[in-house]
Amino acid sequence: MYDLESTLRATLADRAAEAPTGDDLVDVVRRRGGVQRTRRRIAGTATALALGIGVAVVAIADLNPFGPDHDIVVTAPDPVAADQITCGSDQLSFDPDILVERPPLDPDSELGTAVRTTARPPVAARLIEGWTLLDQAGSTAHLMIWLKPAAESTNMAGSGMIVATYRLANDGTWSSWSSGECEPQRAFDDGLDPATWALPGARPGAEATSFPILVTERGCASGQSSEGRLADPIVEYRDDAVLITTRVEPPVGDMFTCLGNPATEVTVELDEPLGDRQLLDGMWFPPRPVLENQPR
Amino acid sequence: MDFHEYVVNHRRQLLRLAYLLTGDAHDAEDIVQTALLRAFRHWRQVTRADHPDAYVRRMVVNAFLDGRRRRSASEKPTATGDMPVGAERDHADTQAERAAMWTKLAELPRAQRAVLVLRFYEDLDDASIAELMGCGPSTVRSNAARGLASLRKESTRV
Repeated sequence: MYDLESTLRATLADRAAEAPTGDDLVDVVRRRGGVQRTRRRIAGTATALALGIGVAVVAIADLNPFGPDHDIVVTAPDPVAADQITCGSDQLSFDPDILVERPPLDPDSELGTAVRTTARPPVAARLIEGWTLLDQAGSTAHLMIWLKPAAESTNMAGSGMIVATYRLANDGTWSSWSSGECEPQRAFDDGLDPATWALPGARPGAEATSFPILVTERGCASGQSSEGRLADPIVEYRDDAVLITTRVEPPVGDMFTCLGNPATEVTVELDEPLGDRQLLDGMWFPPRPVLENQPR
Repeated sequence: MDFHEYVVNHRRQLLRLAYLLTGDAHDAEDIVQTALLRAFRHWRQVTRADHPDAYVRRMVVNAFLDGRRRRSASEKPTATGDMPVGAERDHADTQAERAAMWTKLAELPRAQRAVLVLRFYEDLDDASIAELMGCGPSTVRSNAARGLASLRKESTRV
């Protein structure tokens, strides 16, 4: 007599033996995720301010199987990592010289051939000026698409750069898997997420060594406050500018809705008076001037 | 337990689970990589959990269930139509039967397939499956029943 459940069990056991071995998994995950992070508690107080902006585009419940972790130990970044940059939301990091040198994708490679022939690009071919291979691991490749200067390109990506993920199918063909605008940001090897900041008031005076800033987490966090998860701001001093970079511990959970995150007010302490130097948000590459007089 | 140690010790179990869920080696690698990356970023919480491995395995199952992964279309049904009912099965028959089962599994809705893999490969009870999948035990039971019914229907057709 045919025993369905026994056959199913035997089938699964047989097929499990065909699973990939994942010998390079540790290296791949470490490379994508950065090195182990250091931790310490943030000093001072923080006040959450609900800005209530943004629109939900991904509606997936918080799937943390063990519930929220209320005993948050805030992580703090290493002073400054980053000789690498990222495109923002993904974990891929690369040399910033690529933005200048734009090394072309080898047209004779499998991937180079595919993007010219069979693999439909994520943007109209007439807008594409060139391709650069950022990274390839196994059956996944990340490409930068350089857009031609044009109004249509600017509407699509103000930076003129699209980062696209391509995947290799079992039949040996490459195809575009996902894409999005690349807004270059500095990469930090701290396991933390990026956050932008703004000034709630006017620019601090020249003698200022302490002033409040409003920090907003960039990633999807289901609209939860970053209070208790903010690391100490990183402050870098240059002759003509002071760079402040804010980082935040990733929210607990697996997936989040992309509601606008509330801003959190923290106080930045400088080691020396600000003087006439410009204040820059060090999250971006290159660093950007900060907005002033933003609502709490 | 550090992250490196965890991956070295558990990667094959995770990949086997992902492979049985997806039916595709590339998709399995992608799913496990995604889950481990999330685990890496939350490693402190993972290691403080009562069952760290369950935490990561849930990430694998969720990555499969989120529906953004492609299902492999590389495998074709193996013809078993001439198999005589009640005949003595030899090795070739058994292999054909399992190949047909594997093909039919790939055609099941993701939730049904996940329940069957977790029940018949991981040997988890309904409560554990429900916890892993983020649903209730009754949903697990109904998915299991529907999945088995589909497989049974297919097996009686051949």
